[in-house]
Amino acid sequence: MNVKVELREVWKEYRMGQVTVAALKGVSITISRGEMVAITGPSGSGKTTLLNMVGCVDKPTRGRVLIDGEDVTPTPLDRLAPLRLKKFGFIFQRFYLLPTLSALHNVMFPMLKAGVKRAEAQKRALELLDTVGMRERATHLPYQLSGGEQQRVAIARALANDPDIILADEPTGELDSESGRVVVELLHRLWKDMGRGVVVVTHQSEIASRCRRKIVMRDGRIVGGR
Amino acid sequence: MSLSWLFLKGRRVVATSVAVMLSAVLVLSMLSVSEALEKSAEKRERASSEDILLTTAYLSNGIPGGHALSEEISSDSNVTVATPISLAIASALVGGEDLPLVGVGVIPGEIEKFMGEDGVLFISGQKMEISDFFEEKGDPYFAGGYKGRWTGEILLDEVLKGKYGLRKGSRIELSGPGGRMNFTVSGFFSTTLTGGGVVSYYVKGAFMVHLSELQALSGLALSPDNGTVVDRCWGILIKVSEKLREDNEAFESFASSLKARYPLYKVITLQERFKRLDEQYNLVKVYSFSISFISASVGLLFLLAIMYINVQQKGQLLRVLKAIGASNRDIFLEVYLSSLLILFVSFLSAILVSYFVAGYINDYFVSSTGIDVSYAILNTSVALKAFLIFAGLGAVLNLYPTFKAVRIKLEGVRAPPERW
Amino acid sequence: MYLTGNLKRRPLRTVTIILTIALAISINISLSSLSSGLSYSARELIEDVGMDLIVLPRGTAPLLMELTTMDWGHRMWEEIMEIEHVEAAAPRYLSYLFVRCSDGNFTEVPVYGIMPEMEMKFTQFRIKEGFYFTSGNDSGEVRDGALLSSALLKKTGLGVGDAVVFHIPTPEGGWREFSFQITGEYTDALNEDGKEALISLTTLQVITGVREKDTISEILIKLTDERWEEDVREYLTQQFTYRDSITVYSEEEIYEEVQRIVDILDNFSLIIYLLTTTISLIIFSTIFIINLLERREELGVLNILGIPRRAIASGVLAEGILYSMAGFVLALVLSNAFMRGFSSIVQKYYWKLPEGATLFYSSLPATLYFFLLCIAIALVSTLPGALYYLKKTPVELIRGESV
Repeated sequence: MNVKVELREVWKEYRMGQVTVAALKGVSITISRGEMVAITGPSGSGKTTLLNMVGCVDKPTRGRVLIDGEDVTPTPLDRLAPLRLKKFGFIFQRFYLLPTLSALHNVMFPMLKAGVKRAEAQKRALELLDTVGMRERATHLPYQLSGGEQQRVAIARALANDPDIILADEPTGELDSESGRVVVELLHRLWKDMGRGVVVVTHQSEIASRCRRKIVMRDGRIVGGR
Repeated sequence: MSLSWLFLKGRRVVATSVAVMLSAVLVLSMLSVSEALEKSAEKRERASSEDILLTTAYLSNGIPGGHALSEEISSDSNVTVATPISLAIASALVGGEDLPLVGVGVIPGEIEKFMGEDGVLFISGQKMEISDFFEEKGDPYFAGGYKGRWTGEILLDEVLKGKYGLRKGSRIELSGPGGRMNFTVSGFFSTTLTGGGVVSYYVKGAFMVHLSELQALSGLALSPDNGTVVDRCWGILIKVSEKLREDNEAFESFASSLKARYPLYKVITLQERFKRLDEQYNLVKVYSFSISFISASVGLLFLLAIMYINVQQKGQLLRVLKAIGASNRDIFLEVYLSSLLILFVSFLSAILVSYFVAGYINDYFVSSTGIDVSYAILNTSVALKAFLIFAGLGAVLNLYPTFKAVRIKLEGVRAPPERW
Repeated sequence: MYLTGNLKRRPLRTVTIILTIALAISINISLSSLSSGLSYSARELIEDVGMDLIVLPRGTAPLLMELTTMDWGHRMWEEIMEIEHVEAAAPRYLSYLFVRCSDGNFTEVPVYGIMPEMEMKFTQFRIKEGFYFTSGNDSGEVRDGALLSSALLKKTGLGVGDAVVFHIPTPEGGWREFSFQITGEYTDALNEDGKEALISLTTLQVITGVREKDTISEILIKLTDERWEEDVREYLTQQFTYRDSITVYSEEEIYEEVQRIVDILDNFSLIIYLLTTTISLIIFSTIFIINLLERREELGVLNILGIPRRAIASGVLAEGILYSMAGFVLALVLSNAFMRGFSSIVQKYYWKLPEGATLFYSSLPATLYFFLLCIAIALVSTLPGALYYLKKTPVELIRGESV
């Protein structure tokens, strides 16, 4: 099933003491499986906030979020957890691997939470690690891996439950150029060869150039692309 | 450079201080209970009026011929005075109630030599504070062979005065195994023998009468079978001469000679009482010290853990500080002193709290047992012992996070945060 | 695996929490077991005597028996034996006589004057070797046999078949001697290490000069069935000829007297319970909150990955309970070790406990109570932190707000 995420006139405001800051100002966008989208813009333009809205990680102050036509705006974030578990895969700038679990167990973790049997989860996790070139390091703990290796494991984790859309927030931000290149290549393959939706928040033009669609943000609004 | 702001973090410090304080309170409380048991007993024993007590092993009135025996002992040049006493339980009919009372039989004229000027008498550690005493001296009823006139004088426990409205001149009837006898109240005294609490379940008060009258009341005077005089008493209080008291060796020799002369009885000197006390309280001391040690360990282990966590979390900052010139000595002092500061402040607070806890323990036990002695003493000695336990353990345990802080490597200054 | 991994993550903190709980709970278990042990032992010992009621001199408390006596013991006994539902009644007279030890010194020993035929129905005195000195009821004749306790035999260096001489001091300053043949060795269920002796009731009364008044200390009564206790007690207090000179206690009432004293210990222990539990709560919750603080982002990530907050909260609580369960198990080990050690010190150097008595007694309900206390400590310590963090959105957690 293809997931389609639609944002309609979404606002997101934060209170910082006496001041209210609007991170998103009336943003409307649609993202589907099968697209590779880059969200670019200067720091503080609302890129990550937009990504969070797409991934149902945060709730808008105003506006609506629809998943496959269903308005999920009133639904509590926690009730959307199963959706995030199965439909979305998340990749973070700082990897956020669980430090006490090995690479293999990090990848297995979402599968086990989704109810997959242990043996099956292990088999699939090894396959995913193989896909990202990390099979030999399956038993290593995160602190034993380099930044690039950790991010590759994170990508494998993001694919654990066969999600429709991968959401990556500055995936190469903490990597050297070589590692970053490997990661971008992987993401590209996810879109091109595996047909998933990939949404990447980045301020690096090399990454943005590889995406079919570019959304430019400034001051909480989309100023380029849609 | 003061780095203590790195290690003293608001709510965390408060929580740590409270936990350390509470464990110190437990240490101080346990030690104060153990101190009180020992010191109270020692104080009472030391305050006992007699130098030597000749008695039997059990609470029975097992010494026959008490009057004669005490005269024989008194005739010894080493002895200033020896006087017999008896103990018994008798019932008093007061205010329509049948009250069990514990009675002491003494010989007025002799017993005063064991009293202080303030009218305080200690008999084997039990205190009696006598305000009015017997008018008639000696023991006339005994002199008459337990026939004829008896004085009928009785001193009563103050507890009975208040509760039953008794006063000087009141008439009271006592009954015991020897029969019923009537007495007239000559005065009152307060005593550690009785009070509220557990003791009051068994005896409602105390009384004091002439020795022979108590013996007659309790069936200790005459042999039931043939009516001969047995004159049973519980013990002979002995006061030795000043010269003997000052000469330890001569005193011990005299005590030994008493043991040889009267092999059936126990000759108890102050040293022997202390020896028995030591044996009794060693067990309590071991138990309370164990709990104190465990409690101190827990509190100080927590302090160690918190300081260690602080050092872990501030690792990056410590590296930066080292990079810009802080020496190992600076870091050692600041980490170590921060932890010791928490320890001392907590300990001082604990002393204040323990003062109230000790007070509560005292009040509780006095009201529960009815025996008015100290059950928890928080004095300098206790505070010092507790402090030594705390400071000793704390000083050692807190070296661990301190050395961790000192050993942080400068090379890791660009390393990612430890938690990831 | 995530749960157990978290326990291994910060070993010092894990050890601190577990040790805190273990030590606090082990202190509580020891104290509680001490008062339970005293109560249990008291009950066992009292039951060991095998009596249903005891008749004492008027106004006597069970724990103050040494100073009181009552007269007309045999007459009392005869009347009691005629009461319906009384199976046996054992009158006793307690006096203190002197015996010369093997080292030449005298020792004062409690000597019970008893009726052997009646005493056999009770279980306080247990014969180890030999036999009672008379096979019939005490009929007023002087018997010259004696049973000595094992401890007294050892102290005097005598054995069954030897003669023992009891000394009674006289008013003139000397003593009279009375010789008995030792017909048996026994132990007293209430005082296994006690140096004491048994002779015939009448004999003891004669040699101590109280035969005329027939003085005794107590009468133990055994009923055909304990449901008649109230009836017999009513008779003794209302119709019994000597009702004005006696007090009657049941087994349960004697136990309650002991329990009164144990309750004082219990109430004092409450202070220690409160302090130790509060300390462990503070330590547990502080360290746990710090742990959660450090894992703030991780908790946010878990939620983003699709784990519902309820599941994350359950995981946090489970982690807390794991800590406390580890602490509980360690507490059981530590408290057992402590209780065994302390008990053996007491028995070796102070007081050999009678058979059936124990210094510490841990019951299943008490153990369950402490188990639940551990769970409660875990919940109270972990819940507030868990709920605080889980009220935050994943974005707030990852952004990082300090606590």
